[in-house]
Amino acid sequence: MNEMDRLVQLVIEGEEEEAAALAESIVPDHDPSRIIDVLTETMREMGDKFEDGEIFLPELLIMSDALMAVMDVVEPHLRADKRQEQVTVVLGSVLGDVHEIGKNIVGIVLKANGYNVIDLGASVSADDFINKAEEKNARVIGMSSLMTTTMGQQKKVIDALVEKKIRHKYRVIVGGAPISERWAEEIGADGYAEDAFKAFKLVKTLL
Amino acid sequence: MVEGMTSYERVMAVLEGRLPDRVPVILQNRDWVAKQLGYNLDDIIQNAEKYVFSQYSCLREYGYDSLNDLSGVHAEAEALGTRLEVKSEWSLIVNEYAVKSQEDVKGLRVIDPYKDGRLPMILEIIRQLKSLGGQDVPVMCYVQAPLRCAAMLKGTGKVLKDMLKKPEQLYQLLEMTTICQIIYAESMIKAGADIVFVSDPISSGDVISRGQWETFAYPYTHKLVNYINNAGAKSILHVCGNTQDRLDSFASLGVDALSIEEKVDLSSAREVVGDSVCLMGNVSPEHLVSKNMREIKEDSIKCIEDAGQNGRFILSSGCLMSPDTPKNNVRAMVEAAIEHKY
Repeated sequence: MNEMDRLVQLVIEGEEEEAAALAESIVPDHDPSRIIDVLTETMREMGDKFEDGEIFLPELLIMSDALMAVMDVVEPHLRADKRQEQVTVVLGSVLGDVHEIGKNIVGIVLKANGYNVIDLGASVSADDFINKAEEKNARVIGMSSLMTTTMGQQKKVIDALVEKKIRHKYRVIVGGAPISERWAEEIGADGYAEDAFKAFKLVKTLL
Repeated sequence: MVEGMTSYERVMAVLEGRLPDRVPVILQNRDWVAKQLGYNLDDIIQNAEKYVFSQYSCLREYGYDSLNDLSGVHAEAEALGTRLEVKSEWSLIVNEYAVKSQEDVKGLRVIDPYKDGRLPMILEIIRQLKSLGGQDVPVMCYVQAPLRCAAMLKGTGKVLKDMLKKPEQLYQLLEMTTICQIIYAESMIKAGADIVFVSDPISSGDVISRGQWETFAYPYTHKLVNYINNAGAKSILHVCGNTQDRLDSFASLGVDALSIEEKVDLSSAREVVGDSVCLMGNVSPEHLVSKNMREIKEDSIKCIEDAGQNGRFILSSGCLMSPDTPKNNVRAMVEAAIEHKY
């Protein structure tokens, strides 16, 4: 098994520290964007397995941790121009909602695919979403809501964008267990995705 | 046809496998009823009387079939040391988890429902609901499944990763939450609860595999359900999301009913579990907000036709109802239940 295969294996097994250490040792001799490409492909394959019900959230979570650890090592080695081209995506779980697992995986998949992801965390107010998106010149705002009691907050953010007359500047995507295509349409979002991998495809289509 | 049952008789009939006079309706309502009375979440989790009044007045107005004590959002985890915070009108969130290290697990003390956190108030709510409902209306209370409680003590992400990385640590925490949930359930049954609604969003097929359910949830939930059954109360298991691949395992827990979300088709659920267990569900909470009265009535009729042809069915929403649900959509569900003839 070569070093790249070994790295992929460690990421799949969620061996965070070992994966980071191996990345550290191979990054001087490898093109860093090639390492990221290979790991992105791995995540895509894992995304398919997740959709097919072959792996579940626990597996995806440990993999994501390992992938992030590798990204932290590799990213500083990327050429500066590669980083500047990035599209900025602002992500968060809406006000009153602390469910972050799905949203975090969306962030990781987008990051692995070259997006500049600004994750505002959980229970993010409409003002925080909008101020951060404006400040960072984001093109996409992604909102997660896992509860019927908080899904209404997604609409509040979109309404606030409309009120500020800046709705056209952003592609707004929504997700979460109670969310559907129909809901996205009703509140005036640009799109809905069922899981992190579909969210990535959605962002690509929207831009 | 059986004539004129009380709500209590109707619900017990379907849970025990007898034909009711009509389809019973249990609404998973906490925030919705509060909003009808002009209250917010903060009001109802701090004031037993307001909570009870919101439940009782909506029951009288809309004519569904149970009084619910669903006020105990994360109350068990709070009693064990997790700190909560009311954030926005309808949301109570975790501020700080009780378990940050394995040392903290050893430090956990079994809960005392008569002393700890909001639990005494929850018991008081059950007593008041029971005295209002009397012989006619069943009181349903809510307890988190042991795995769910563990997640509320340590964080869901950590608990999920423990399944692969540190299962021994997770088993220790689950042993503890199982004892706590049994003691808590016992206190609620003693206070007058007729039905215990056991909720476990983690055991969804959208989150963990069937194997992980069988290892980290089944044995602990099974102990809790056995206890509830032996104490003479009815048990309903609610697991969110797609659970099609494990419904047979859910049914084998010995629960009286399975409450399932709209991601599972009720007719295929019926095929899996046969007539062995009552099914409850599954009008989409999102549709309840966005669809109109006619559409909700059609959805409700479809649910009844899919799972309720021979009784053994409770019409409900697939999960907790949104406070933004229009009144007429609740009326539509009750109308559909009343108009269906056995």
